[in-house]
Amino acid sequence: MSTEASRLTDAGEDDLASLVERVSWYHTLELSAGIVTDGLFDHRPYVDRYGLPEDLSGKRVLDVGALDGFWSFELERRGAQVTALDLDRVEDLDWPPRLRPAGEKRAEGGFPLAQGEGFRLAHRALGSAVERVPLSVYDATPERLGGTFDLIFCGTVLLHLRDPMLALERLAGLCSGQLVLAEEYSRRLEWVPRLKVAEFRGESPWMTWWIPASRAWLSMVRCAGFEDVRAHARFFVRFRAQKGGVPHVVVHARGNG
Amino acid sequence: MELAPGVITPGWFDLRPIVERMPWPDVRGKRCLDVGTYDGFLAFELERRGAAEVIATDISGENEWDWYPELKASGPAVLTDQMGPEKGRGFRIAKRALGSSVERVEVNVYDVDPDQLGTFDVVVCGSLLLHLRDPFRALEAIRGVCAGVFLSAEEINLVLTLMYPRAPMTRLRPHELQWSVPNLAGHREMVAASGFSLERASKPYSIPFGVAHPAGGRTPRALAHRALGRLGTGNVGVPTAAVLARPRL
Repeated sequence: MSTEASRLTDAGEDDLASLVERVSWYHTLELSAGIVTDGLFDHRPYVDRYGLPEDLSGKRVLDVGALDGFWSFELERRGAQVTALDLDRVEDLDWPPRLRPAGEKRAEGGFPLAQGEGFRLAHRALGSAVERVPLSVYDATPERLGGTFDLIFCGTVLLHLRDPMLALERLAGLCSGQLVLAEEYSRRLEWVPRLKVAEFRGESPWMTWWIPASRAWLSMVRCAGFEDVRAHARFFVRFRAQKGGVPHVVVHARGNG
Repeated sequence: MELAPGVITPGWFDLRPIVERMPWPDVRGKRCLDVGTYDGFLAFELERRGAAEVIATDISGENEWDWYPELKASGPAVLTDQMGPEKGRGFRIAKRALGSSVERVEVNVYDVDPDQLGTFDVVVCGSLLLHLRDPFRALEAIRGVCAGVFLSAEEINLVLTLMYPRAPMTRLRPHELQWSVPNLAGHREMVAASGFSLERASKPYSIPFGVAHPAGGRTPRALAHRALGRLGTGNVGVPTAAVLARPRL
């Protein structure tokens, strides 16, 4: 416990607990023995389902839409040199215009979104070396991020984007190895034969746009220029402390960026 | 388009039989914009209906269009090959033949800007969104120049409309210059989500194919498609839904 506490630059265990208390967490993170953030989701039981390589030593990895950093820190734990991509201001996210005024109000409201506060606190508490770059995925190029990546992880980001195809094109340009994409898929549409379809969920307070069926996700990833595109797994991620959850499909693909 | 009695352009699509089915507002004396005008049918129609001023926008350079990534990567020569001769020429010929005052402006729908074009009492956009990778960005840009009403007429997918009459869905089919085609509810939701309130909607109609359009196949699927078109809209063509909307925000 004291090792973890000593990693904090100027706060002790008690201060960490109270700092954690003040943040609205999306991810459930174990910051030290006994201090676990109360995130909207707890990905810990699901980590093995994503098919991430156990050993990522020496690999350059990009975590797209890092939020509180669960995946950034997990990838770092496996030995990777991690760059975490996210936006600092809630107003910069892709709010459907109809929801935009409400979205801006939420900047003060406490909806757990990309503001970086949680990430920075966790980063300090864990003594992490992950580099957080505040940059839109639409502007993410090898020139701006110091080269391409051996692995790109993108966890439930695209459904929050107005232009997911542009994002995938950018990722294709950045990926010289593997893409691991995890997204919510539409269970309602999953049975539709042949057609690649998506349902529109633009009224949702979670800032969503289109929710494709998993076959449509595969098609989008292929369209962006990835190869060997396949659905690795499908599972249901429950909310940590409330009923319900999100059906996930994990897509694996190979980039030649 | 009929440029003179008996002189009809050999187009891919013939809007003449369905133009009255669109939910036209009163455009007399109004300042109007036709986005993605191509050969200009809707722009000239606005003028014919009494608009005081009509601006028609489009982009001629194929390399600026939202091509399927693989095609874009193969370079401009391939794109020109796909699309044929210079765009905008048809508009110029028609404009001259009709003695029209419609002004064509080269600008991408994404970049349509009130500081450059001013605002319009009536904005019309027909069959453009399916060709865009980022249709919501286009709808937001349109809202920025719309001070009155917006007429949006877009292709819809009949199968998804029948399967989901109320839920907004879309069919993704990224290839060449197409991205996705929504169902009826999907089209309406896209317009509403972009900050418009819907005032009026037409029943779906099919835009008949023109003489230049390639003939459809005779496979069972093609025949079923045409039968569905006839059942759903009364004729064969491009199934289309049109709404009249007003910016809300």
